[in-house]
Amino acid sequence: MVEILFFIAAIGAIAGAVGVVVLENPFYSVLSLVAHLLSLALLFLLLEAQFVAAVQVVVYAGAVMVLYVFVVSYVGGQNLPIRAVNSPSLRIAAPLFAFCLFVELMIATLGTGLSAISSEGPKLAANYGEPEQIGELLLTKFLLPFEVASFLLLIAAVGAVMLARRRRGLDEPEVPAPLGLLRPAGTGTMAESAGGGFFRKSTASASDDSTSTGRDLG
Amino acid sequence: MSPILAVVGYAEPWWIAILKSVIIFAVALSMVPVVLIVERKLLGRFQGRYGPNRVGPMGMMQPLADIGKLITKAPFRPTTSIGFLFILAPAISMITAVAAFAIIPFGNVVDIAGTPVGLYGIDVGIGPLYLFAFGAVAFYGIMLGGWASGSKYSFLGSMRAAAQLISYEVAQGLSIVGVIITAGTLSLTEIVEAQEGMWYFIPQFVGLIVFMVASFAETNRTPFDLAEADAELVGGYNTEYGGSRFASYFFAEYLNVLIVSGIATTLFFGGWLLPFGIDPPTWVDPIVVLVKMFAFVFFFIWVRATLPRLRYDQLMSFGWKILLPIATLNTLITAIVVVAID
Amino acid sequence: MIAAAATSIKAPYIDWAAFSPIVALICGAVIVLLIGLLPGRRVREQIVPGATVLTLLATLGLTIWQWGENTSIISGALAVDRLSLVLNVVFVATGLVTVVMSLRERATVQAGQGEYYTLLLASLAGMAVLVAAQNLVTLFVGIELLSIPLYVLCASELQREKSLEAGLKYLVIGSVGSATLLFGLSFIYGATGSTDFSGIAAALSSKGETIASNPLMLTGLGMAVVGLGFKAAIAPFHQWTPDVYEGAPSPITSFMSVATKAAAFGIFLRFMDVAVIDEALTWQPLLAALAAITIVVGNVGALAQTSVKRILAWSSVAQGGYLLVGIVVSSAAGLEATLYYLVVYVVMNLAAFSVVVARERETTHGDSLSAFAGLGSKRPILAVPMTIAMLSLAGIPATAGFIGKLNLIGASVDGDYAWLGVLIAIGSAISLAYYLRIVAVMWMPDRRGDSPETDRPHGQPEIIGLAIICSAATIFFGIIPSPIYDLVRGAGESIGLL
Repeated sequence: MVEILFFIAAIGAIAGAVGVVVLENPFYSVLSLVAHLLSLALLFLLLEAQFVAAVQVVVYAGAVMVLYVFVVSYVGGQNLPIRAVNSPSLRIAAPLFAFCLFVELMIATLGTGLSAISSEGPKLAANYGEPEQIGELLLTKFLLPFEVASFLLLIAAVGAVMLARRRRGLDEPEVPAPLGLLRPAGTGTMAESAGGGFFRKSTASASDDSTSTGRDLG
Repeated sequence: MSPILAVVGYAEPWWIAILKSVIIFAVALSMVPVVLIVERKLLGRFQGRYGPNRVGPMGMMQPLADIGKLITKAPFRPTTSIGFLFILAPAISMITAVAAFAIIPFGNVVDIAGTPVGLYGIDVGIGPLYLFAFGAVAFYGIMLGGWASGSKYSFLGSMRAAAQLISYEVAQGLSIVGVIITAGTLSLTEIVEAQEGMWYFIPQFVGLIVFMVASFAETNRTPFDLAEADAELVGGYNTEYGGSRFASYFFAEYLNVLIVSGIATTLFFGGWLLPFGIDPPTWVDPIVVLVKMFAFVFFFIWVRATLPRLRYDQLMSFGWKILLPIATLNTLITAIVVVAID
Repeated sequence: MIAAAATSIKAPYIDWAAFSPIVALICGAVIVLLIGLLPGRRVREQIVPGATVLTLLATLGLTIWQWGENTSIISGALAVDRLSLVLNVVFVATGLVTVVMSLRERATVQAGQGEYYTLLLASLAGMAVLVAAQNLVTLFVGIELLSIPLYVLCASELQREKSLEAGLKYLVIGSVGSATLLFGLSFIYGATGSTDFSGIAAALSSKGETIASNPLMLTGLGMAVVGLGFKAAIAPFHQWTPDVYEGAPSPITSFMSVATKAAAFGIFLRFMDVAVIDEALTWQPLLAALAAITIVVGNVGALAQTSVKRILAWSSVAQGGYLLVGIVVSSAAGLEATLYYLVVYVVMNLAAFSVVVARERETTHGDSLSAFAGLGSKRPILAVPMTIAMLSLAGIPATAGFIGKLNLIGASVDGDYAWLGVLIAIGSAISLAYYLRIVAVMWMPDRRGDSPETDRPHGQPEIIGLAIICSAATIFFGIIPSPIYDLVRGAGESIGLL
């Protein structure tokens, strides 16, 4: 039973990964990445790492890939072929290098894998892979990386907001609109949703940003 | 073979596992029509009318008529749609909904014909994370359905539904963390057992409210049902779906309502425990759980009949700016109190 | 009700005193972010940079307070020893210079001062964590914390397309590097069974041949070197450097060229000399070959450039090659030579970049060579520091760069890699071609009359002051190198090198 599941998950993972690279439509690429991640989650389950499997699905396939799907379905859509390489020597050298890397990785992983093929694997504690055990590690041995990673998430959010913020939001409103004081912020009045309201930003903006224009859907 | 998914320290024989799967699927399959008719009758009563009362005594056979109509319709597919994904999307919604049903505990471990059997599908060591995993995949059912339909209304509707889902997913998860901290375990049966003295809706009242609000959003129910808002989007992501595929989507939606009710019962209202410490025979436990679940379903229908729909930007700002901070604060305060008490 | 059976976990002991520099950086980043949210022009333009400077000075003070410590803190995740403390000083110095350079920069206005300085401090915190890392997981988290703010900062001049392009390129290539590094680190963990550097060293020394020749370990080591090489801009992983350096706002370029390099080489030192020191015979030839290629490629690549920022980018690649020589020999002398060169590299490079920043704001020629034409006669106050910086980078005697290169050549000869020492000398000779070209453009009389008009005369005393201070320091340390020798002495022994 384990072997059947393993082969299903392994084939799914490899097919998904190949699909990401080979498929021309970016939406299908993203979907095959999702399929790959779900197969990986199944592999984690087979390795008795239940928490990692669940987190992989919830965070990676369920949040990160959701954002990818959002972006690709709004913005993607043309079947852009993978651009042909310009120089002829690179056309030969690149697959050659990739093949050498592949052979090297195969030697490394298959070598160690084959040497352990007749064993039963390591002896695992009864609560291996449970959230308790991982939580304990995160709070004792890996406390510093854990805390620094949370700071890293904050910084990533700050950076994303910095890159995506509306340009108008940087100028200070010189005179706030007085009647806006009567409308509490965040209640979703029509004025607010149209960009006005109490914190009305100055309309004149010297920016000449040609970067973002709305794309038509469909 | 090691018991990779049971936390209770024993391995159930494989035939028990298959039997339970069949039973759970049958229970789910039969509860949805009940919810369907209860909703229509209750909505009717709330709105001062009778609701369906033609088919069968007091209209109780109405779901049969509904489902019969839907299944016998011709399955059509717009030419602009993408075939494989169009057919796959409702299937994803259904599969994840039924799979999430497996962790709702209907009772403790009982002895049936000599083997210990838990009155639940599986009791995973990761508990609610299992639920979130399937909820995350369920998002793709809606997303793909809208995109694969090849029509603008569907696409817009599915985008809105998707944004709503991922916004409220975090608050839902955080509200559960308070319960987990209080109980000290992730396993759902152990959480129910930890509520022996006091059900968790009392210390975790804020968590309960946040969870209920977030669950309304997660199941696309009023007041968060703008994904299916007839007046705005014709039908949202299921505009182009008809017949049995439409039935799948709505099946999945009602099943999600049942699951959320089941989880709220388990986490906040003591699962199969009766108040005042009454100890009934074990066959009463599933009935207790079902009664509590239907109390929550009644609450869902009640809200639908009462509240107006939220606008999209109101919904998003509410989810991120109000609900999420409250959920975070709840978690923080719970953690502080638990550490202080110990 | 509350499960009383929960086993309580004993939290590890945290040595707050030794951890304080990093805490100062992280808390400072958050505080600067919050201050930046306050309304008002004065807040944005003065208080936020002021708070950043205060944070950096506090970090410097705490680092000096911990001078002489040699401990490993927080259950062995970080090491507070001479190596990490010296590099902390380097980072803080670079940070201070970058803040001064950013005061009037367009990028800070376009991106928002609060966020800009927060990301700067966060990147510095990542660097501090990285060079102190004693654990594969801490190493990776440190690299990500160092890189991600830099990706955004490179793109921070939001209305200039080249800046966005630079940020995007850095993001894509940096992610490839991080992915390769992570893959390699996971192989190393698989081969040795431990994520701690000490555990890896113990596994290598006890199991000896079985692991050292294990293809899993070798592949992992190779990929880890490749991943770190992307960050340190070692050839052939340097391809991103010219484009990113040219596109990013100049203060960020100067920050990257010094601090990122220092951080990358710091972790190179620690990883190679602590974790896999027993495999030295395996990786020394690899790194030696990479160093040779880097020196050649970096120096040759700069010869044809017309943009000063690109010249400095290629020159930084070449300087990375010189630094790598100090790592190859894996001796205390080599480590101290690398550290010495990193410290003086700060002043040399920042002197050059200050002049570039100052000139960039004065003319419309941006950073191309023509902006510097005739600078000697028109603005000698900028030309002299630039000349000193160029000569120091080339390794002319009486400058700090000369002493640095002397140390590196000496260490390489002592470590039986004399051919690398010769290569450093040859590389410096080649580099004279482009360094002196800049000097020539500045000082040659302007016969053709194509020197640019200073059509935007800008009073920027702070940048000119920076340039003067840095170039004076270069000359000072070239004549009296002993302060820096005192600074870096003991770094080799502190991590257990001979």
